Amino acid sequence: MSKILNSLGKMMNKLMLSCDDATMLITRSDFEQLSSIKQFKLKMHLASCSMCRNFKQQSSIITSQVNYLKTNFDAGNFQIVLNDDKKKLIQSAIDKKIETK
Amino acid sequence: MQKHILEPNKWLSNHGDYLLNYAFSRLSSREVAEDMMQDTFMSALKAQPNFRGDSSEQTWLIAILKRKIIDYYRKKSTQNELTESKMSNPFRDTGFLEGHWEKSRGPKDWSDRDPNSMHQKEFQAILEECISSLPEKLRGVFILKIMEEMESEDVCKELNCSASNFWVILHRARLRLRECIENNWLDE
Repeated sequence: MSKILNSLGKMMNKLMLSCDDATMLITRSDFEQLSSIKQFKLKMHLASCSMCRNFKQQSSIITSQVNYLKTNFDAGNFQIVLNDDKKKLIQSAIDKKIETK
Repeated sequence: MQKHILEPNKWLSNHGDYLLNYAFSRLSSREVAEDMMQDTFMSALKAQPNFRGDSSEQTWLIAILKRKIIDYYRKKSTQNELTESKMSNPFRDTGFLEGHWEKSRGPKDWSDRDPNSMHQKEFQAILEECISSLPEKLRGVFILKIMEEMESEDVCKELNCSASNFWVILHRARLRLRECIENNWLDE
């Protein structure tokens, strides 16, 4: 019985995407155009798989939050700053190097 | 157009914190970020004659820093890393539902706690923590592709991976990241 199920499963996998494949395609589709067959397969999969729909939703949330993370110091709200001792050390290293030029 | 000039004696006070935070957001380590900032200034001092004044001083310094971040991850990518454990894959590996989510590890609905509209600060802290917990190899691809927005081919060239391997690594990185975030974000 389990053998029949297994080969049935393999047949289905040829026609339908696994969640592993579907989430990989979601990632790829963020950066490149998918072929229309892949697009169709992904659409079919998402229509019946709420977990992969959640994955897609989460991916876009994460991407927008990463975009925030990578620029949030642009406005000068620095997350970390150098302590004064370290500053002095680095400044004197720079000064030294300028002098020896 | 006015040409930009370099004022090395003011680099630290004018751009130090900016470079430090730029590095920190991409390297997940304060120590490494501090070293790399200092390193950037030293390389920049040497490279001064190459500065043509077309871009601002800060843009020029960031370009040098970026190069160092890429080199950092390149070195990491050649180091032998422990092979990924089975645990890291959230999909079933046998049976009728092979390749489908393990029931307990499938993504949940975040719409009740969307950080784009609330608790963004807490989310950012978790995000940083989870990025830093990625294995270096996954983190390198993730940072260069998602944060530095490099072309996939260029990331592959730098980190020495094949095109198909690139997508697998990015895929694994995103799976891990979202699971780590979910475990820390929804349970709060």
